[in-house]
Amino acid sequence: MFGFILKEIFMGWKNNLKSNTFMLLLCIIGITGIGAAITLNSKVDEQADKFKEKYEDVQFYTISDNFLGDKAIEISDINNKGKFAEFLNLLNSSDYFDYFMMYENPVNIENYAGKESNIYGYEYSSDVSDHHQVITHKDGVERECTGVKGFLIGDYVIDYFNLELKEGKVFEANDFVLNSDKPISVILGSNYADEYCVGDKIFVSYLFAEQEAEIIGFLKEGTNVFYRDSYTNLDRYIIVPIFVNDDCNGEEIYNIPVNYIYSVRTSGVIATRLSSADIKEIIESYSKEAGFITPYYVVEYDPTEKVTFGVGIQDIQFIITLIVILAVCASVITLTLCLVHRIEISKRYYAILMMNGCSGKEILCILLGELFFILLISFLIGCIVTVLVSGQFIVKVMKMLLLGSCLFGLMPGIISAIIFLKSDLVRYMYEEI
Amino acid sequence: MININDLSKVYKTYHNEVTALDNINITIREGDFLAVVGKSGCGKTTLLNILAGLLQATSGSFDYKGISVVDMNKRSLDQYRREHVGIILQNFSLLNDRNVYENIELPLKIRQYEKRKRNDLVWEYLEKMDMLDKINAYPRQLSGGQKQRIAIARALASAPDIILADEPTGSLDESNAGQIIDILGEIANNGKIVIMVTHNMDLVSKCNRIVKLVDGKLAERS
Repeated sequence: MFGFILKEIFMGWKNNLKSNTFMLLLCIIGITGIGAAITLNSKVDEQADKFKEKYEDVQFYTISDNFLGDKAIEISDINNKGKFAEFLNLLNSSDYFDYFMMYENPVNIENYAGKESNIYGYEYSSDVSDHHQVITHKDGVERECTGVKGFLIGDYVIDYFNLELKEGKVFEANDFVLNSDKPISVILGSNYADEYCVGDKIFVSYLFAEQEAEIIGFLKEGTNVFYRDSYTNLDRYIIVPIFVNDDCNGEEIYNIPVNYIYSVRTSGVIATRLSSADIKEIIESYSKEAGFITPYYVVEYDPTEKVTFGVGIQDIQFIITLIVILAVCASVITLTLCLVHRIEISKRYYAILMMNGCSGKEILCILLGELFFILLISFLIGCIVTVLVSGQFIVKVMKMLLLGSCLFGLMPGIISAIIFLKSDLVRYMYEEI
Repeated sequence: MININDLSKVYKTYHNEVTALDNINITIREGDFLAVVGKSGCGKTTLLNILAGLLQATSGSFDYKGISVVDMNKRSLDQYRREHVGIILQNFSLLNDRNVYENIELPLKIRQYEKRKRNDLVWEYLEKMDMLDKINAYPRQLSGGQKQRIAIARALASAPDIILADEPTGSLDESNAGQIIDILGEIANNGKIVIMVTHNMDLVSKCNRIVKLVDGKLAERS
């Protein structure tokens, strides 16, 4: 009987090719979406576990000031330089946490030869031409520059976050002291490796300096640091030093007012085992001790990686999951309606089968068999797409996808079975064509 | 042999009850070509559907070869219909997306006959129905009489003991109707039970037994 049922399923497939193809597409969309959501969630879990494992129970916070609006006087008043210096000193010498100078800001590179995806703001706009501009530098020379993603770091960052290089060397102590007579040392993320080499000289300009730089190393692919509220992947970044000296040969070295430079130095990352409430209290007390009216505040962390789109992966996870849920619900409802319609138009056929000796159970197998094959093909295609997108075959994900496929077909299968079983096929035997 | 004792069927709707069959008693033997006559709505089709195992009676009994059919569960009823019953209807009930060969083959595939045996039986019954030249034709390419011959071939191919025909000539002209009745008579003469529902009194003369239903009750028999 299995052979007969199978043949009737394929006969039915042939006779209802258009509607079956439509149902197949619905299932592929739904099941592939489920696969994408499962893969993303498993990657998120994997990442959260990865960072938890690496940093154990260390909490990370980023310090930020709130000198905006009527509070901007705190940063613009030149007499406040001493307050910033004191605050920085308190952060560096604190017994409660480790403090790292870190700041994300674009860096301009002359005659940029790297990938477009490294350009600052790439994720937010399809047109990055705004970041290509001619800049007149302090030496009076006009240079064609491109603003790329930049990460400014102080010493200890590389050691603490264990930033490994695949080539070259890390910053040394004298790299954090600006000397106009020698090139700035810069390290590039792995995404630059095709276009640049260790030893290449480039002209860079950023908050702290405008001068020639030498590439001293490339980070390993997948290198992360914690910044703001999540881990940031550095593959597409240029890493430049935050200098500790304020002048060079007696002259101030910055491109912007000194208070803003101190603001950059004091907007780094704290690593601690204390709670956020404790850290907030400590930072507020340091702000007061340094003499600020408006205290600094802390940004809490999210144990996942900030991906290349400039938003946290959990944001992407939420958006994708929401879209998938909506798509799956719409697909399931549409699939159910298609099956119900299929039963309606096939009742005469089922009645003829019944009158020729087919049992109700066998006819139900034919009906649900079509759904089963649609789900099976969709599952296989969903697996292939999931493997292609994720780049790996994860057994756990495939098992979840199988479960997802079964659940996807559950409501349409149950509803169509109920409708079929409630149908009075006898009267359809007498239906005229 | 079929024994029907005090068979009743009551349809219950939300608002009322309709008694389609009311204490029917008949005995039908092999070789009987029984005509069940009566006006529309008198219960003829209901009786046929119960005999086919497609409907459950409300009360009474109906035995076939000493085995009670009314007591059968759904699975046993399906088995009974598969093994013993062939059905012919007024609208022919052919599958329009399959050709003549495939339509006749259908009950044989359901009964899991081997391919060779299926092929032999299809050819045998096509020859009996004088329809060999239409073996690859589709129902839309056949006349009414030809369609009914195919329906009869399909009903007979699995060698059922009981042939149930509900208005088999209803869609046919006089000439074709006569031919179909002759075929059914011949089937009965070969030892099968043939029960035909009709309201065409001109056709019943070919039958060897007639029962008349009036409002679900047996009014006459001969």
